[in-house]
Amino acid sequence: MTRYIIKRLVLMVPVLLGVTLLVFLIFHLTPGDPARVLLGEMGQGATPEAIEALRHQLGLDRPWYVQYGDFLLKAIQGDFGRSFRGDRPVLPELLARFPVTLQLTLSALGLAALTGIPLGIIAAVKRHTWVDHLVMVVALLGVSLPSFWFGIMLMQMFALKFKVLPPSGTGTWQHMILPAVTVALSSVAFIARMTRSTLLDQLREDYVRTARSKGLRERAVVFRHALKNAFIPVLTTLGLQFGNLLGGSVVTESIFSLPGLGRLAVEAIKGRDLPSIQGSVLWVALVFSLVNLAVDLGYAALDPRIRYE
Amino acid sequence: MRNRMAVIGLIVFILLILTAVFAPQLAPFDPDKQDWRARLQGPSAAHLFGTDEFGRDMLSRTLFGGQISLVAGVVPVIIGATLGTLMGLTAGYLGGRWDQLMMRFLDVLLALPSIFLALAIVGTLGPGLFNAMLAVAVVSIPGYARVVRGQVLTLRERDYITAAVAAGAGHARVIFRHLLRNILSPLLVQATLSVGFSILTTASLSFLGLGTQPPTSDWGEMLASGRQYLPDAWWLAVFPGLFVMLAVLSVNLLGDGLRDFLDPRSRND
Repeated sequence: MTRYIIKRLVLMVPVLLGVTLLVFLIFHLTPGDPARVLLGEMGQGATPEAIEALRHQLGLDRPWYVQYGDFLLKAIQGDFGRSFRGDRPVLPELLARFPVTLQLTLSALGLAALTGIPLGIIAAVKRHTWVDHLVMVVALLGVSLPSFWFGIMLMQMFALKFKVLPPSGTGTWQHMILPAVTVALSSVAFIARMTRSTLLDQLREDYVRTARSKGLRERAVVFRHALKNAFIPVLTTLGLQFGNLLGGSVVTESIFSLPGLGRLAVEAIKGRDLPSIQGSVLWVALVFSLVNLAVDLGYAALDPRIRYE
Repeated sequence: MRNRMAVIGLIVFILLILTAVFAPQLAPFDPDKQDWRARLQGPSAAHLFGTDEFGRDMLSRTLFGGQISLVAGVVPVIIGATLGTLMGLTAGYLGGRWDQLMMRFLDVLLALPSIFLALAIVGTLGPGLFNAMLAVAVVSIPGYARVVRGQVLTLRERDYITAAVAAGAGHARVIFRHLLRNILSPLLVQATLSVGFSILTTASLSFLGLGTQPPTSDWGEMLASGRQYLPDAWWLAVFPGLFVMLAVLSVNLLGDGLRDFLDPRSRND
């Protein structure tokens, strides 16, 4: 097991290298000089000398592979460089913003699990009745709604019209409700569909027929026998949803003005701030890979048939 | 039940395409014509979807915005499906080093949540509709490549492929004449289902200000630009949002139906 974990961690290195190299290459292959963008914003006359001076100051006048090598060497030592904009160290900024994103992602995950799983169970147990159809229609709507639109509508209704929840910002747990519901929406739908289909698969198994034929009540058959076995794929789905939710937070933070990683990335992107873009990409890829590893390990811990060597 | 829903999805999606194609004939107003006396009016007989902050007719803008949003749904699918299929076909059939290389490349693309990867790509390429579509296309590559590779790995061992190779068929002929033909149905399902993803993702990028740039607008950009007037002008958000939902919902229904039809084993009821 330990060997497997070490192997997976080692395999993460080329992937992370690949991700940062991809971002670096695209950035350097596309026109659009960050120095020019920065100077333009400061309202100074962007003379060729001024641009050249700033390029030198930012280190952009070196060949791309030197810049990339420099970035890697520093990143290994925990230094993600300084942002072009505001000239602040990137890593502390990321670390300061990440808790907001993590809180949002985890609340959304909890919410999605607490609604999605029961909905899926109900739909499976009441299969082919109007309850099942209703749940499936709601699930279909859930994956088809644009989350940013859903978020705006929630904000209109609960924050601006009925004034029961704060419209934006952070501070109290109430601030997290609307953003978490927004992020959770598509996952609720996904989890409900997944729970329904795995539970239905289990209910067709022989051991369920045996349980029923020995006179067990339907409730015990579903909850004590079938659900237990259906849970493993469902839990894996939950783990995999973490990544989706993390991505969903990016858009949602912009709607509700939450000072998280997503907003940092969007701001960095608009300003062609390479160190901040590169830093957030590396950080998210790292978190994402670690979560995926945790999901695989959790899978093995839950299902004794799975052994990683 | 599923089939009926799929047909409904198909009809709605075709209707949406038709309204976008014939937007110049259907739209009651010029979508860019400003009318300062008619600013922020609610839905009425003259303006069915109301008007925006510049007095532009929202119905006309929604119809024209559909042209961009639907193109943004389909173009990434074409690019992503072509690249992903080529990668999957060659990786699965040739195997060896090439397969390893392709798989590592996919690992890189899968190392970030999809919307975040799209964001990073648009961010490095710079904002704009074309870049947004390109980003969504790149994000969708692993989906196709994996489905295709998986299929090819099983098909490769079949007798008719061995027969083709024995008969002297070259790699290209085996790949395109024999393998591709037999993986078209899962590919079609994957492509249909990703149209919805593309529409949603490009709309999200436009909403964040990284896709379509004003004065051109798609449904996502319309939502973003109308947001500040929202408390008093709900119609600015409701109509573009409803159209995004309708488009995604219809194409998802169609994709689910296609999957059940083409691959009865996946049916779950």
